[in-house]
Amino acid sequence: MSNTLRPYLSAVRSSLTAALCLENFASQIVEKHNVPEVEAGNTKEVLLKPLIVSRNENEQVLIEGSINSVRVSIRIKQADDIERILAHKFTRFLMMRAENFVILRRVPIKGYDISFLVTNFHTEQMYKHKLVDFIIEFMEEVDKEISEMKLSLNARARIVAETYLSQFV
Amino acid sequence: ALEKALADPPYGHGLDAAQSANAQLVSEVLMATRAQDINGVVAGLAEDSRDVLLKYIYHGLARPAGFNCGVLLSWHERVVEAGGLGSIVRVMSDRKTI
Repeated sequence: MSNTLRPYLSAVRSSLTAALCLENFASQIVEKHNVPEVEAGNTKEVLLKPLIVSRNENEQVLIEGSINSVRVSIRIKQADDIERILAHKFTRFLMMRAENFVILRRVPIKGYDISFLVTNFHTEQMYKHKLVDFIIEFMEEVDKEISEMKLSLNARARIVAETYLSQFV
Repeated sequence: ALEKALADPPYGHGLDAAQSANAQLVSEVLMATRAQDINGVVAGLAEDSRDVLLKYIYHGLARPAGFNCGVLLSWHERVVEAGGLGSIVRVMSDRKTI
C-alpha cells in the first residue's frame, strides 16, 4: 500500500508542473480587471480540463488549470473520527492564516480538505519548481503531522485519566 | 493489443456506456502487462496513442472506486517519462473527452 506513495507524489508533481504554465491574462469581460480565471469561470475558452490524481478513494488531488491560475485541492486521508477532527482543525488553522501563506485559499473546494490558488503573479515572483516542491512537501508532512497529533492526544488523555482516577484507588 | 484498444476512442458527449466500456478494456490491458514490460510497450507506442493512453490513465485515476490506482500510477510515470510534460498539457487542453 505504501509503495503507491512515491508514484502518487511523482504523478502529482508532473501534473502540477505541467499545469503551472501561467501567463498574464486581463479579464475579457470588464476592462482593466485582472481576475484568476479558474475562480471566475466566466470565459470558458481559457479553462483547462481538471485533472484528478488519486492514490485510493480517501486520498485525491484535484488540479484545475487555466491560462492565468491553477487551483490545487487536496483530500487528506482521514481514517477515523479523531483524525477527521484533527484534520479539520489543522486545515482551519492554516486557512485562517491564508494571507501569510500567499498561495492558500481561505475556503476549500467542496469534497476536499484544503485548496491552493496559484496565479501568474505568484509564478512571476516565486520559483515554479519551489512552489511544486512546497505543495508536494505539504502533502507528505500533513499526514505525519496528523498522526503525530493523534499520538500526543492519546498520550495526554491517558496521563490525565490516570492521574484523575488514581485519587479513587 | 494496447494499440488496438487505444485506436479510435469514442469522443463526444452522451456516449457514457461506450466510454466506460472502453476505459475498462484499456485498464484490463494495463493490468495484464507485467512491470518489466511496461517500458517496452510505452516505447513502442506512437505519439498520438501515447496521448490517448494518458487520457485513459487520468480517466481511471479520477474514478478510484472502479480502477486500480497503483497500476495506473506506475503507468503514468512511464508514459510521462516518454512523452514529457507536453503530453500532460495536451491531455488538459484537449476538449474531446474520451
